[in-house]
Amino acid sequence: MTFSINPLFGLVLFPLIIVVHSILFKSKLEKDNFTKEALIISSAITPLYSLYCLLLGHEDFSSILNGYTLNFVVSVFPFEGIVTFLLDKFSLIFVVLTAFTVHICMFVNYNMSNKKYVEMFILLMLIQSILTLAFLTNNIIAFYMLFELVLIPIFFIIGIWGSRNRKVLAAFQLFLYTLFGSLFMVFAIAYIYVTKGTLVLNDLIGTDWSFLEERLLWCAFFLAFAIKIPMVPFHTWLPEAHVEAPTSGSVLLAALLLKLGTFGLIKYSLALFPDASWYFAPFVYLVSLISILYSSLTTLRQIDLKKIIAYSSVGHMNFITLGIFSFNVQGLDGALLIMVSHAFISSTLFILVGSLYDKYHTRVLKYYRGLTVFMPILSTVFFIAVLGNLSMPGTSNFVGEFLILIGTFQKSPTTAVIAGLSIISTAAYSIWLYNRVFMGRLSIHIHQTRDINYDMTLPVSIVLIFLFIGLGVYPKILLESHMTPLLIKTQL
Amino acid sequence: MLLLLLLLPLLSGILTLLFGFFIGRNGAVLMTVFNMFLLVVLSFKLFFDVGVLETPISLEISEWFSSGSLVVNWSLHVDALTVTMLVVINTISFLVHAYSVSYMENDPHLQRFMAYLSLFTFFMIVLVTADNLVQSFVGWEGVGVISYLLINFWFTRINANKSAIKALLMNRVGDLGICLAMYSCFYTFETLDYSSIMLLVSHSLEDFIVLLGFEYNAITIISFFIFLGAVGKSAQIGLHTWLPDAMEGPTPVSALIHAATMVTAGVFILIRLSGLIEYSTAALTFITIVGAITCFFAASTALVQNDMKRIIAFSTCSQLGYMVFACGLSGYTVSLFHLANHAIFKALLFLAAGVVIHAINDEQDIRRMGGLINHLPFTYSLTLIGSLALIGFPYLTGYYSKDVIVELTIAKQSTHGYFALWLGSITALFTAYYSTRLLFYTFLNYPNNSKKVFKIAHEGSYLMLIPLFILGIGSIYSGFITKEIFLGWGSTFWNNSIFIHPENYIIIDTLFLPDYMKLIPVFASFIGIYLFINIQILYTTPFIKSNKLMKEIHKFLSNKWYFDKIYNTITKTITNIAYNITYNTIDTGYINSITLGAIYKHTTNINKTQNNTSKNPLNTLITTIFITTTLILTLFLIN
Repeated sequence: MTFSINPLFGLVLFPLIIVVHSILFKSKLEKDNFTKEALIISSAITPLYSLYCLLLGHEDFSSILNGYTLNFVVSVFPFEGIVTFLLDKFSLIFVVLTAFTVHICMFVNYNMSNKKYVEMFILLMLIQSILTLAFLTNNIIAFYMLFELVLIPIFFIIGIWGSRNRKVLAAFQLFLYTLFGSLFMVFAIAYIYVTKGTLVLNDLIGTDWSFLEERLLWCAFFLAFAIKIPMVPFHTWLPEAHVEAPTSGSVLLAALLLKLGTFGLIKYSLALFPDASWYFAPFVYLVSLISILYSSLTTLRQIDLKKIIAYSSVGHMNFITLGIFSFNVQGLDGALLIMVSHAFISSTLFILVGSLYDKYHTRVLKYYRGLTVFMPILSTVFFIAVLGNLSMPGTSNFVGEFLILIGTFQKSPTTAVIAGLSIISTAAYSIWLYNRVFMGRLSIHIHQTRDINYDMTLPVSIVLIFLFIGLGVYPKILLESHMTPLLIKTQL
Repeated sequence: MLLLLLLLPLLSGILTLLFGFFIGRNGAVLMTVFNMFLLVVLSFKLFFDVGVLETPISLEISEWFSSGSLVVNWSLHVDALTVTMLVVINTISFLVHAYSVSYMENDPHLQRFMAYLSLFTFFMIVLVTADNLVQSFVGWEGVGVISYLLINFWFTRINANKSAIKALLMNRVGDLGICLAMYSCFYTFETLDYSSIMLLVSHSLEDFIVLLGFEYNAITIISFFIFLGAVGKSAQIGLHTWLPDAMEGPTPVSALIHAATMVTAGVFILIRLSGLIEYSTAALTFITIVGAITCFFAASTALVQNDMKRIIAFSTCSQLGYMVFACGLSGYTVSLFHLANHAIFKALLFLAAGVVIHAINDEQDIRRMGGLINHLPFTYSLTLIGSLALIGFPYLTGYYSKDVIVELTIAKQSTHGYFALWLGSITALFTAYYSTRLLFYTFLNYPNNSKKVFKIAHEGSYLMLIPLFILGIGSIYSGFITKEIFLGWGSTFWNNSIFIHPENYIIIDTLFLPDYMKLIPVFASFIGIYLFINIQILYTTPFIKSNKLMKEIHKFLSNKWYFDKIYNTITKTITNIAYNITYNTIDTGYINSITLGAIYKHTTNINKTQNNTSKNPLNTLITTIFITTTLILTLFLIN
């Protein structure tokens, strides 16, 4: 079907309108009795609307980078025609993911006081609007600005709602790391504008660069994205930020902010500099392999629950880069699938760990043991999430990893074999984590509390579990978005 | 009807697991056991339809995922191989379900246990009914995870935890093999369906895969990867350590998982992909050698173990070795025949061991048993039947298959064939030795435990004994009944579900071997029994006790060839590297000293002196970056 009104208006404007309204009526909202319910309902508008667009409109924008259509180009900037937004299915998937994750965060924060809840809501909606724009924009400089802009709300979320004094350090680290990487990106963007005179992605695809130029520009872009993904050795900000962030901050970081890096790699690096991408593919393989093995090794010996999940995120995210640089449909499809499934699975884990933290106010693993005795529901839910993390068949992570490694094997069997070692290591740290927290004799350090069936954690994690198991059993919804046009267009 | 095969155990498992509290103990028991009974009926019907009437069935349910030329379906393929496995799995599983009701009756988590058993059966059925490698892998991983849960059923025990983790991780190493096999299969054949792979193999004999700079024949490398998977699941030497440790779980679990179903998955996958492995002589030879070594190694270790279940576990490992080297000698039918027979008598032995352990206050050490023949006569007679079937006593179930396997090694007329012959025959001797030892120490020996224990020793309830009885009948007759179907000359039962390359078709040759060769395993068994009586009952060979060499050998065997020790050292090294090098030296060392050190200084300053923020160099840095970028941007935008 076709839309009578451009759906971009809704997607872009809804979160912005909500942000403006909640800032205007902040003091009123803080006093109201039904604030939380009202805000949850208002945050449900965008996910529903974007999901509606995704499910109903797939004939119109079925491919990445307007392989078929360019129907929904709008210019909403004072500079007419400079900043365009393009709705393709690839971006739309991330818009849905953003809206949905923010909505989930609203449930996660449910136990906060009204005042904090409203402040958090404003920041979350701000993040949502920035990320929506970042995913939809078709202009490199706009993407860069939004890529940077999203740091401000997350900086505040970590800096204000974090748990310890170290949070300031973590927030600064996150900020500076990203800033450092994108510094090179902005010079590259400036160079592109000077030489080519345009920054619209579709106009730039297929332009001729000299090989040296292309390689240098690719490196500048890659550095920015590699820090965001993150790849070893630029990964230390991630565990730090995760540990200090509140639960919703961790969920946002893992589910959305990291995806900006891989999203940018697919949409910008691959499309703009196909030759350089091809040229650097072995290098990316090497870095990804090191990251995968390094992070899974490091995860083994962590004792902070959140650090374990954070380091395992590094491993999963680097699988995505492997998939992207395999330059075939399987690899790219798998990359997309893992991007979505990692969002669900790591969010579930972070939410569950967050609920543990709320109960006992410690994240140190040594204090926990034998929680199954009086928390069977939490134990079950956590186990399913752990199965997702170790990519058990039937969860979406498996299909993603499988496709990525099949794609990589086509390009370089050795890489696939070495990356395959993570099949063992992910299982090792995941199941060891579960075993140490939930199995064994009851720890003497913890007192018995309620299971999670009386707070928001249970419904939220069940929804997430349904999502990642549903995607694992029937992943066709995501695989239909056809990465082939990108490959054809960039002649990879 | 085929879908019921999957739905019955899945639904009963999930419902019992999630709503066990609401349906209660009786509800859970009724639901799971009744569903299993239906499954048994169903699988026998399928055995008749598909096996006897020779009509394989394929059913495509829906597409799972597709990407480019890769298409993976949810679909079922039921042929003679599958129905044989189904009958074995479901029958044993049903009996174990019934047995557990009584065995676990005092456990507060009976519902959870029954649910795990049902889910386990479900994944096993997924594994055998799949028509492509990926769907098989779902079952393959699923049984691994459920076995983690089952071994860990009494989750407060540290030993159960350790063994469960070990089982999962060792299996994961094997899973790596299956995964790599899938990737290389797709690389070579562009498909993952069993039937398409079988068709394409003969056209891809010259294909190669480049790994680490070396060219390998594609068929060979795929076979090796598949075999790595089989090594993990079927507990072959190298990755076997999880199997004896898995005995920490409840005994019915050992009977179901570690005798009849999960450990046979590796052998099953070898048989399922016979059409591929047959074309690689190197892989076949390797499989034979590894199988034979496993067979010998496990039997020799079982000689000196003292834990009742552990002896049976090592015996399982050793019998799996027989099955695997039979596959290596292209005797897939024989291997499957032995698999089915072994499932029956090994489940019988495990369940009988469960009755014994239950009877004498959960004591598992055979040195603290003895004299139980007076208390448990029924269990004794069934253990005797099981042991005789295991050691291949003539005309019992084990005899028919083990005999043919040893005959195959002779008929193969090759070096690795004779290698397997020697090790297989010595294993037959060892098998007789440790089986007699188990029987003697448990039932016949002078009682070695306190009077209190023997006073409460009692035969199990009927619910426990009836499954034993059925398995006992099976151990006596099933080999005789099914031999002609499985191995008979001209039997068309297999109906193309198993492929044997004409050059390797030696099963006919076994029929024409001289009689004395056919009786090698039987002779070996008798020698084994004779040696046991001489050495450990009559002490006619006292030199063994005082001999220093013998002591060393005993130490070596009772330490299980030091595999655990080696693996512990490796794991310790890896985890130390993980902490000392990657985390401590690099992450929080070098990287943080470069990046974090500077920030840390200033951020801590911020905390201490709130007023001084404007003078903070960090803020200056950030401001500078912002200003420069904005300047550059505006410059270019104005342009």
